[in-house]
Amino acid sequence: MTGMESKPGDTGTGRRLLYAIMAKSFAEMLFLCAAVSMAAFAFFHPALRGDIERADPTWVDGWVIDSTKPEEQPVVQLYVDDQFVAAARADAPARGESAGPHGFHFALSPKQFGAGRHRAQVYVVRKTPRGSRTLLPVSREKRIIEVTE
Amino acid sequence: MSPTPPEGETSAALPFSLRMIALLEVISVTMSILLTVWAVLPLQLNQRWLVAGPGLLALVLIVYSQRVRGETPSDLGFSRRHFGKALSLLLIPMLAGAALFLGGGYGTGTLNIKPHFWRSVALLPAWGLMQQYILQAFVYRRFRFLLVRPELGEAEQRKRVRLAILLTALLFALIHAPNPLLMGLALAGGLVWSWVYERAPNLFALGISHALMSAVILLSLPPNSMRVGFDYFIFHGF
Repeated sequence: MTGMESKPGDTGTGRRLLYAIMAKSFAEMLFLCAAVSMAAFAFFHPALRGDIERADPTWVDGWVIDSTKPEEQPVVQLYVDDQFVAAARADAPARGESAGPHGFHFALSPKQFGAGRHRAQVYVVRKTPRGSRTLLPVSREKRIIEVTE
Repeated sequence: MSPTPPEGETSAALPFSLRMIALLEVISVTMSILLTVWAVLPLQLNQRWLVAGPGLLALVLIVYSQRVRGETPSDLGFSRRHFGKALSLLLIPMLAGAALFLGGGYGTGTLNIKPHFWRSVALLPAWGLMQQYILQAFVYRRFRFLLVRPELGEAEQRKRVRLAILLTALLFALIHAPNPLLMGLALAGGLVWSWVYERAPNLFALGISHALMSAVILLSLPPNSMRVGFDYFIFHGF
């Protein structure tokens, strides 16, 4: 076999190779940071803003807006105690920060749930890469719905 | 005038010898491959071309390293030299492997043309040549450079050449983790291909052999048997 063994080593060759390895590692780290950020943006979409403004035994109201596409009105799903209850499009008039057609209203019946404390969360349905869908919570915390007898 | 430091020796100005740098190069390229199959592919990016990022960086490092070290395409095996000898050395292991796979596939009922088989076959020659280029013309040559020194006796050199072949095959198997079947096949294939490259360094012959054996494996094994890295868990469960 011929090639490397016939070449005398020198510090210049070593230094150039070492710099190349370091440059590649640095470029790879930058690439990985960019790829992870793009994936996080695709799956968790931090530009999504929203809140549940009211949650009681008769109504769950709130708003949600994609700040990168404010003209879109996403589909939202209401879950109570981690069970699907209803779905709607966030296209109702909203107040406050969202001021526009980005609100959602879910009408509930107190009889739907038994007496006690129930946890409600509204999720935005989002398309993710490769054609799958994911649910992103609108509110940081689940809201408590108190149902009395 | 100061004397040129002997090959592989540490110079006062550089904390690594050229031999140690050869090891760092292999580690760096291996990390790029592992990064792709374990971290970038699982991210399921919309921009699928980004998957090629670490691989392209590794390829740039490989080509640059070969240029800096003065390795010519002919040295690496991109020539007609040794083509016939390499094919003749590969013939028996390939026939034995093909008979084993085709027989096994026939016996287990998995010998058939899978979906996308012909598309895969069309890509296999380039894919096989690329893998052999990285495996032999870079990894094996670096391991050999790391271990084999001209000042050692002939017996010791032979022992170290065998160790370089083994290390190359083990690394090739590692890249196919966690698929146990492919790891075993990669280990066997890596041993044969590196052994042949040592005796007849011709990448075209090795690329053809790699492509043919991959086609036989695709025909013989159940679908999704070629999955590696994170993908393996998706198709075979955790």
